[in-house]
Order: sequence, then C-alpha cells, then structure tokens
Amino acid sequence: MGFKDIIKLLILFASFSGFAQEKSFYIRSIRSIHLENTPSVMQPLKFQPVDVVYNKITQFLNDKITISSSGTFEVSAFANINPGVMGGSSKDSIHMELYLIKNPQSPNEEILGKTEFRFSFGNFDVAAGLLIAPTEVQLQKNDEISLWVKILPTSNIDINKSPKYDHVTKPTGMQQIAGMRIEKIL
Amino acid sequence: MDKQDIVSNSLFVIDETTQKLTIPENGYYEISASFHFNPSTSVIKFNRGGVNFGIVQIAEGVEQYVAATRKSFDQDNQDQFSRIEVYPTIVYLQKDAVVAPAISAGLLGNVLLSCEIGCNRRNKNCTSFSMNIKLISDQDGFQRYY
Repeated sequence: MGFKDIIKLLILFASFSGFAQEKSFYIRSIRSIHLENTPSVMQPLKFQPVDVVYNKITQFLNDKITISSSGTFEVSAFANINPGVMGGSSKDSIHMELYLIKNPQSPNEEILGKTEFRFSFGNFDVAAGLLIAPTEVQLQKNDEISLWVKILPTSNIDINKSPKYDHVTKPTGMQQIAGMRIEKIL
Repeated sequence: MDKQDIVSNSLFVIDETTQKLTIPENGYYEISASFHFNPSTSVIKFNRGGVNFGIVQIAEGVEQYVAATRKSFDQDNQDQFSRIEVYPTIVYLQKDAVVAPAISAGLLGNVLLSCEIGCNRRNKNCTSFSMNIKLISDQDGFQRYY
C-alpha cells in the first residue's frame, strides 16, 4: 500500500474570461478588537469601510452593512480569539459563541449562523479560530448583517480584563483577525 | 503536491516544468482549502498549541497568508485527526504572485515529532488536503492585505 493510496488530494483551479463580476461581499477587520468580560452580553465585532475587500451586493453606511437586493445567499464568518489569561486548574474553561445576525436588536432579528468554542486549561492564552460554516439563507433588501460574540455564563474564569488588551486578534504567525463573506446565489 | 492531484484547472499555466502556482492576472480571487491533520502528541500530557493552516502568497519577497484559519489543540484533540477548513476568502492578488498551501506553528507547548497531513488507518479514502482558487473579478483594485 503506497503513500498515494493513503493520501488523496483534490485541487481545483478555475478562471473565466470575459465573465461578469461575481455577486459577493467580503470584509475583514484590519485592527484587533477588545471584548468586555461581561458573560451573557452580546458584543458586536464592528467593521469599518476600509475593511471592505470586495463588494457587489451590499451597502456600507453609518457602520451598517445592508443587503442591496433580495434573494438567496451563502453567508460565513470567522473570528480569531485569545482570552489572554492563564487559568488555575484543568477544570477551568471559557465558553464563547460567535454569531452572524440579521437585523440585530430589532423585532425581526434572526441568527443566520452560530458556533461555540470552549477554551480549556493550557489554551487560555492561545488564539483559536471560531468559524461559522457557509450556510444558505434568504435575505431581503435592506436586511442588516453583523457579527457578534458572547461569553457564556458557563465560563468559570474571567477573560483578560485589561482595557488595553484586544481579544479578537492576529494569532501568532498569521495576519487574519475577523471576517465575513456573503455570496448571492439566486 | 503532485500534478496528478489537479482535478480541474483553467486558471494556471501548468506544463512538465511547472514548479509553482503563479497568478496569471491581477484580480479578485476566492480561495478555500481543507486540511486533515493530526499533531500526534498524545505522549505529552496537557500539550497545547495553536497551528495556522492556509494559503500563502509570495510576492515581492514577502510571504503571507492570504486565506487562513487558526486551530487550537489541547489534550482532547492532540492525538487525532481534525478536519480544518479555510472557508471561502476573497483577496486581491497581483499577476506573478505565487500561491501555495502552508502550515505554521503559532504557539506550541512541545515540539511536534510525528504530526501528519493524512488519513486514519481505517479510512484511507479521505481527502487529506484540498484547495480551490477561482478568479471572480478582473476589475482593477488594491488590497493592503491585513
């Protein structure tokens, strides 16, 4: 049984000539973001216009990203988070959730995607990627899309409480902090 | 990687002499990737670490991740394969930049002696690595990456 029987690689490279611009939106933060040590409270991860990489389908006005026309979309997001503390025992843990939310803090708020991560003993000072996998959603014109973090009350130690410490940050050896992608499918 | 591993290609010029994947034209590219990785460090109790997985570009002498994710390993997953996904990421790349998959250690409690990209002994047909790069717009642009 050779090496190639064990390992299978799949690689796709695609290009189109004379194509229409793909109807997508991609934004990533170029600055780290501080979190408050407030379990159960939703905390926004705010983007700025300078963070936009590619945009054919949204408007970014007054700190809000809104959908330009109704349809079916694929959404995904990530945030790299480092609680920045040590922890005392192997029983300690910090639980966090990352949310992609439609029309936050309004009557028609809806969670589009969500992920949970549990920081465990030894890794309280190591950045971890929290990822919201691509998911298909229906969005209407003017729906607002935003990214949020919540520390769960099941955490039994605090995150770093220094006001100068940014928890959503570049992990050592890579530049990515937090990002969000929206693609119009139909 | 091996040229036989390419499933589909209408982007790169690839012939017998090709050693690198060179971006053919300025534009916005969408990149995704998937790794199946085992740090294999079970002998070390409470080992810990953060490992970076992604696609780098090498341009003007600088190598940097343009699409990447961070995986945190602890005592629960230090001796098993994990599926690590880099979900679709859009970046502006310039003609002649070289792109390549990369793994790097951000922080490790101990050295990795026998880590591997691969598959479990009982599941030899899994995909150990995949990568997809697509030109989505040839519009002019600029990106300070991060």
